[in-house]
Amino acid sequence: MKSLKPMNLKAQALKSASGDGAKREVVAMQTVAGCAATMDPGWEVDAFGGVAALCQPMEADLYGCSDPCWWPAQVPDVMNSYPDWDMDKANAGADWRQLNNVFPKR
Amino acid sequence: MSGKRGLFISGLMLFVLSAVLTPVSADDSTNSIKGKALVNDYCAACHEQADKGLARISDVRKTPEGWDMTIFRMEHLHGLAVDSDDRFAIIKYLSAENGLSPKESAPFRFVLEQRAHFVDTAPNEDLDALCGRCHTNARYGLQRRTAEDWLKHMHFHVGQYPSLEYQARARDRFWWQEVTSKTYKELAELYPFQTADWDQWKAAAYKSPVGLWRVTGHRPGQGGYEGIMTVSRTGDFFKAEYDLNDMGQKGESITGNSKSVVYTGYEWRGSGILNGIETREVYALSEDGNRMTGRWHDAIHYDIGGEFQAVRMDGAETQVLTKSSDYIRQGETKKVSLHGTGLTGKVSADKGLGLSVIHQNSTSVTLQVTADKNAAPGSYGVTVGQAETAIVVYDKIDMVKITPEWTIARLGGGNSPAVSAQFEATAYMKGKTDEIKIGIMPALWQIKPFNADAKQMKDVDFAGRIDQSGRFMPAAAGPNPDRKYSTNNAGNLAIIGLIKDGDHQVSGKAQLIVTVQRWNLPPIR
Repeated sequence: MKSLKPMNLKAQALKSASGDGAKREVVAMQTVAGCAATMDPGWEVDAFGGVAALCQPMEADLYGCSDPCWWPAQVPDVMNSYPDWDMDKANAGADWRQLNNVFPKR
Repeated sequence: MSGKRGLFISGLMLFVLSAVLTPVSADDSTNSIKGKALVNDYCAACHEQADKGLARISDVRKTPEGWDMTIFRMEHLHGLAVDSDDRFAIIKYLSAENGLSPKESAPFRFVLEQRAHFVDTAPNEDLDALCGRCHTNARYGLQRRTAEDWLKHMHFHVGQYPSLEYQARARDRFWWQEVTSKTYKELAELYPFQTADWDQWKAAAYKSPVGLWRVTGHRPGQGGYEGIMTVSRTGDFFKAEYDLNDMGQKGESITGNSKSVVYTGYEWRGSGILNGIETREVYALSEDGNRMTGRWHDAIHYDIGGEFQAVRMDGAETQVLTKSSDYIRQGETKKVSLHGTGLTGKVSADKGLGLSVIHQNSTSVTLQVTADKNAAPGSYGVTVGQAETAIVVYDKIDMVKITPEWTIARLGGGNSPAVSAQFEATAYMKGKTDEIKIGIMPALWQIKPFNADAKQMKDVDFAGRIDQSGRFMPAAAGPNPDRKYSTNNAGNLAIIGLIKDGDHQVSGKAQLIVTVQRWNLPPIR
């Protein structure tokens, strides 16, 4: 780790956490309804209960989530369930406004 | 199986069903026959006949929303084509045949009611890890399955979402061995298919909601409301007409109507208009048919809505259901309105509160209330005939709590409406042994960085704004080139509510995570 330099906020947060011995004290059994706690970070909240260590801007890596079915409860998975979700929207950073919700509004 | 392959295979299938499900006992028999025929027509080509009914379908019980999601999945992944009338009839039939009883759905109504700010708690750490990392605990808590079907549910997950096998935190346990040897049994014990409660509810004579209802409720950030709802029936649907009054600062009339369906004998689902705004209603009719509780919300912005309770007026007891204010300061005089049913009796109050009746009828009493300047701080009883309520007399505010204490808002843009966060400030005073709640009060609202990271990233400048009703409106979604790393307008904020109390002010604090949008928006998440 000593030879690695953090290049973004998530890396900075992880480095400082490992440096000062901070770690997650409890496995959260509570979350705001519908938020994914899966993985570090979650979709909504990072491992430290904030947003500084989220993968952001989210659009930079969005298709890295949808293609391999990562956070499938939040992001439509292109692997199996919604293969055409990102069709003709190759650049998430520019095309995110065209991405549709996948459950029809009632 | 890939989605495309699944669509190809399922495109060859017709959903026809020859179910031998037991007949609906308490719902409309014509609908039952029609619903059963439709389930046969649409489902039986794939779902083979088993001993007690159609495979899978006869092993599962769900809410109307749950069945709606199942049909959507069949449409989306397996090529089912069903028109909206048939869809409605099938959901109604399955919710009646294989639904949830009022007691079974009661712990999880927060998700049906689309409460954006509810904090969800898992039954235990294992279920939190295995289900709650992606879903609300209501997602599985609102399902009942046989043990065999819970096991199939595990297989469905690894088949449909295979990469969950290698995702981080899926590797903190031998999860596949765990879910296929232990978890499915645990779920079958916690949420069993067969229960005496369901058998009893299914056989019950359901109550009709038709009639006059006394309505009371609360719109967070705006205050209480009260009025009358008149429910009539036309065919499969109920029509509700609302004549309501805002008790908050606006003091406006709230009028409109809705068209609704009652599923499973108690699950009221309505679509309506209130003061020109399109709404959705999720109410539960009580088992005795004399009370409805739930929430209505803006059809697009589910984060905006109102708490709702209604009491049937025919034969209602004498009761105060709500009042325009819960508190009065020592020495203060103000108007307080009580709203309820049967409020024709004599009005009186504990010593220390002076009352005079300005207006009184069976549903409302408006009082001029004066708190003695020497009245000891505390709760003072007020009675109207046999109905009892209380008004708190306070001398000084000692503490302010902000609700919700911790919640999220979502950035909006593109096809994703923003999800706002509505905060309220409640004043408390010290009692002899515990704090005494005074009530919700107007506050001055501020946002501050929650921690050093938030300060460094200037979250306060980017994440959104709070108005003086306590509503936080998040900023626009998308990468923001004005932020470091072009990061989103996410933020970790402290929400500060300040209540002025004479010449001093007392503040409370909550945490707000402003985070990114999501694109998967089923009714049960």
